[in-house]
Amino acid sequence: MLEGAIAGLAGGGAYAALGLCLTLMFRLVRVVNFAQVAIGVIGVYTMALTVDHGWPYGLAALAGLVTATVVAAALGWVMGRWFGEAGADQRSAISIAFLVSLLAASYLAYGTDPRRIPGKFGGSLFTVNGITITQAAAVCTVGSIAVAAGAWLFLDKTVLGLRLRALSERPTTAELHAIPSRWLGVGMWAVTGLLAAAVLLVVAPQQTSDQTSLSLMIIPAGAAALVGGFRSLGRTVAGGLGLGALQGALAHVSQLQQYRDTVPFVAILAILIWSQRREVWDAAR
Amino acid sequence: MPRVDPNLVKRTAMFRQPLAALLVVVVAAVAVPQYWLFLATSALVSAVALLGLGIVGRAGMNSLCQLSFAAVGAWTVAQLNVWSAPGTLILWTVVGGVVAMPFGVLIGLPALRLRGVHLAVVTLGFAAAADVVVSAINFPGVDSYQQVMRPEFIATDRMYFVYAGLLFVVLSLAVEWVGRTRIGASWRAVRFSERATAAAGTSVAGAKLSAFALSAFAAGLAGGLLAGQVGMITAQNFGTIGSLALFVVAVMAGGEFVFGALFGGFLIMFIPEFFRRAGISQDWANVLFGVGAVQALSQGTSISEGFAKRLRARRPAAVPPAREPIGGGRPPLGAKPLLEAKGVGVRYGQVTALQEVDLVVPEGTVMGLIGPNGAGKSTLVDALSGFLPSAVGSVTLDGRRLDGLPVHRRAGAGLRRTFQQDRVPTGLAVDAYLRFAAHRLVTRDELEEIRGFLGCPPGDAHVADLDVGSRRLLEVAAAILAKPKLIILDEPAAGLAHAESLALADRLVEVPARYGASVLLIEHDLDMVRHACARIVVLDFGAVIAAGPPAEVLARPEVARAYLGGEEAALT
Amino acid sequence: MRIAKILLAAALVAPMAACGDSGSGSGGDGPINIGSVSTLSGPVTFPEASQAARAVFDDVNAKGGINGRKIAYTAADDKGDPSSAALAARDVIQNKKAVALAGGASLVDCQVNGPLYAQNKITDIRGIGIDPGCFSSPNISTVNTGPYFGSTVSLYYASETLKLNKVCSFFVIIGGTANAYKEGVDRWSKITGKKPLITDLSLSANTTDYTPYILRARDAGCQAVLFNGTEPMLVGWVKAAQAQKVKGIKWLFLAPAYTVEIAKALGPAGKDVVALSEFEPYTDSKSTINQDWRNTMAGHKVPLTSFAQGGYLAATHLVEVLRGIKGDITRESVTKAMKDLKPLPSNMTGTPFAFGPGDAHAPNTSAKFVKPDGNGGWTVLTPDWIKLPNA
Repeated sequence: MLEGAIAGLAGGGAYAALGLCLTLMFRLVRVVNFAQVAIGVIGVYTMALTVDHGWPYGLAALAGLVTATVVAAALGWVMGRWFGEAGADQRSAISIAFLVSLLAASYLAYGTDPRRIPGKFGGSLFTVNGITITQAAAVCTVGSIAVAAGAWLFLDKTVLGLRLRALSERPTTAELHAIPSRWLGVGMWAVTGLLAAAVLLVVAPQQTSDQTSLSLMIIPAGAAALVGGFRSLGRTVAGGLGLGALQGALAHVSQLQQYRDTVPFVAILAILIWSQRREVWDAAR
Repeated sequence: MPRVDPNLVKRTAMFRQPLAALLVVVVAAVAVPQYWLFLATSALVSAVALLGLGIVGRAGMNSLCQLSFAAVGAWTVAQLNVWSAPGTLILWTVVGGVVAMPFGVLIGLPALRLRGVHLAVVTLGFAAAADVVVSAINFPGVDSYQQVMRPEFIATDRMYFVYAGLLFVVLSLAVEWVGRTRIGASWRAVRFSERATAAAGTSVAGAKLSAFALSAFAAGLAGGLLAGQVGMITAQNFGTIGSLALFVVAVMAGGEFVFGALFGGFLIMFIPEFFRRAGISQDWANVLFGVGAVQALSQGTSISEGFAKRLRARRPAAVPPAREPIGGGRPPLGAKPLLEAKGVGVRYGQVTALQEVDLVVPEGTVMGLIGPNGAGKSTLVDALSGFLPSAVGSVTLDGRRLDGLPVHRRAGAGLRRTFQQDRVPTGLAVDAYLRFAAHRLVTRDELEEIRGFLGCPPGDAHVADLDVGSRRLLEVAAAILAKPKLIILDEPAAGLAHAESLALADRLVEVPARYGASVLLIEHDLDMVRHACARIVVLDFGAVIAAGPPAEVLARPEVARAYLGGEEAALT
Repeated sequence: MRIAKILLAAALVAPMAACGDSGSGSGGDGPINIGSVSTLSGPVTFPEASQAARAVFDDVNAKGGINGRKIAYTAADDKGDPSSAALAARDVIQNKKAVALAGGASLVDCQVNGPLYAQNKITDIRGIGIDPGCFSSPNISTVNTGPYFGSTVSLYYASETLKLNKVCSFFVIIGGTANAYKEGVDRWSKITGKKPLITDLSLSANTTDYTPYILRARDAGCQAVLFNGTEPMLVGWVKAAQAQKVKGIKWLFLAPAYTVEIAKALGPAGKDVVALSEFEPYTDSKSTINQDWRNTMAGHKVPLTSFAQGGYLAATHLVEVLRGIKGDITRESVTKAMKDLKPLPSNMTGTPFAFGPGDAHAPNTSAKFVKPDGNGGWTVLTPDWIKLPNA
């Protein structure tokens, strides 16, 4: 069980980091970006494609990161240009449209053949008491905590962070105060797109890596973000890591059979309903 | 000039789109080659699922797990087929829809606490979990190689297309019909404001769950229809991405409209086929759907909603008749206590919003509740109407204790309230809203009468086209029409011109005698309060500081102090 | 609204564009229409089988066709989706008026369209049969071993040839394949009288990390582990095992593992891997058995894979059946010929291809086994066929 739980941390760290992207996006640009992971997938596949063309890994990874950043920025621009004042619900619906389109576009661009994703974090880091910690698990876990800490410092301690938070409340008002809201929003998309691609560069080589199942990592990532209520960075990380560990541990419970993948959903749902039990009404008054 | 009876036009309006759809189906069945009919049948299957998506859409919720419900329907049909249950495929399909409904309710339950994007993430999670389960449990008959049997008369693909078309038409008629009942109105109301829905006496939970249940029913039908069409179903039919694509198409085409659902189903099947024939990768179809949805949302409307709006815009805008000022008069004081609140208190953490408020509203009167901003007036209204379960004290209406009752039950018991903010759902026409909010059967004459009484816009005007003032009046009209014992009006004159406020005051005076309801009026406009009220109560810092006839109370120095912050002046 | 107008226009034009083509009937002097339904787009694709079949038919046409009639071949795409598969089959049967199907390789086609083929009395020689329907339909017979009999043969090889007695299996379940895999394992138990240590049918395409399962196999003491994943899953599996420093367990992989790309991707990490070859191992360039196949594929630039072997075999079998038909070649005569068919031996498979009147066909119950040589190639482990006894 414990072994399984620790083995699950690689996935958990990825959920946590992607969940952080979602939380930051929701807090700062009012969108639950369903296309978040799909943007990362574009980056990873660009990397795989260029490696196939004989590029060295480092250069290819850079190309992947740049592509994901540019794609994310472009989507962010569309969002800011036409849906600057729209509510979170509508913007999120748009991101679902982005997801469906991006996925189809990635099939068009990279083909439908499953690709093997080269990676650098395949090996094991160290072994304690017969429990092996893989590099990917360590990088993801430490990375997600570092990102959360960095984001917290940035948002609470820097002027730009404060501006971003002000912007998220009312973009037009922020614009009146000479804060270029649209470009800050585009920047936010670009940064989270970069982050998503980086996360996938670490975990995708160890995972089944067809575009659809990778893109659907948005679901556990979204669950992690829900644990944090799309607000708390710390609880998002905890939610992601917990979810990964739970999945890993459940692999050892043979009674659950093929239904084990539904357990995290049920767990998240229970947490959510408990934490939101007082949200009886849609508006404060 | 010869004219068609407008009522007849109105009554047949709901049949127009389904009947047009029927025409399309009949023509296609005769003229289109078999292969294309098979494709068109698939389009109808998608259209049925889209209709269901439109139902939750009406209620302002996003469901990303429509195909999971379809899987339930398909599974049911496959199982009944294996059992050779009586009733043939036609009954099985309906049963499939019914079996899917509890699953819809199950997903509707989180929707009672989760909203917007949170709910969307949960439904997506459900879709993925359902995907796991559906992949794990084999569809019945797949192993034993039993195809879903169609009855003889729809055995051919051509006849099956006709059957699918009829099913779509029947379902769309039903959806249109339900949409015009109070349940349908409650969906639109919930989308706009849950508080107002409950205050209108309708259970928010009921509205949300019924929307999800009916949506799941439609999806279940679609699943059963698919099972009959393809004969052998597997889990790949109901993937998560499929649900997402369906949602995107619903956004683009407008699943809330029969035409939109049909058009959406058509797009889902024929655009990929078009690309295939043109030698272009079919993946372009999903790219196109995504771009289309973005485009549709940037316009603020789906394609069919856009058309509907254009059609509507051609009708002349309704102008409400000017309200005649009348002589006013004094409301009776009333003797028998109607509403009795004792020791009502509300705390938000350390802050005391209301302390030990005692309030008696007599039967058959208009009473005023005034006080400076932040005095706790709206908190008191919330406490009386049941929005604050944490409030202490007791509330009795006409001898019946209301404590512990939820909002919609208090409304049902005869306590109606309006809101400071505009809470009239924009998706409805004036009469539809009045019928919904009345929460009882009302005749056309009653509607005419109440609209005339308050000077509301005509019944077929759309709420979305009204100015804020007219919407406030409409809200008041709806509250009166519900025949409650007590109406609490929270600043109904906000958004009205001064003269209009006074005209409203005149009308309010008549309400007790004319409609048998007492009125508790919360208002900043002291002129209006003076006109309308027999007695007033003054609230400050969460406590009652004065009560009595308006002229007398307003003359008191402590009242003036409360309003003007210490300056010694009389409010006369 | 601009997009709306474009879409409306497209929607209106589509049916008109459609009515243009409807295949000419068969019989007489026109071409012999042959079709196939394959998964050519989507997350998992099998394009080589139908490409190889087309290569065979093109060569037959170049040499004058069959009794002077050319073969017109349609490879329809089902996108791995049942509704599309139903549509694709109708396109082949109704629009293209095919007399038979051959060389298909699809994730869903057999299960979805098996009844339709039976209804329309059309027969299908499958290049690569994947879903369970390919092995349980009256009108479909497939030339490959398939994942379910493949599982049985792999376990049989592990327990009987390698003498490994602690055998485990982990199955990724896509669609309704769980029972078929379970039957595959049960078949092995019945033949050998041995019980598997673990049979885990709980992995899915959404299982992204295999580490927990590998640890479970190690902790249980498995000596051989059968895993049925597709290409990237297999690489993920081996990499996860490598990261956990799990050694000494034989990883038995099914036919999808047997590709040059996998051997390259695994490199030295693949030394514990054993893969199944459903046909005469195609990487063995010295094998004379594959010579004609190699030449045909090279002539039409079809990639050399075992899927291409399946397509090639299916097509050559069909050509042989067509050549044996006396009189007009129609759907009826082809179906009759299939139902009357005597087993057709081929050196590329361990057991002969068969059709016949039965309700289910699984003619290929044999395999050879190969392992990566560490340099991107494969070494044949079993020069002789491993055949299931009385299966």
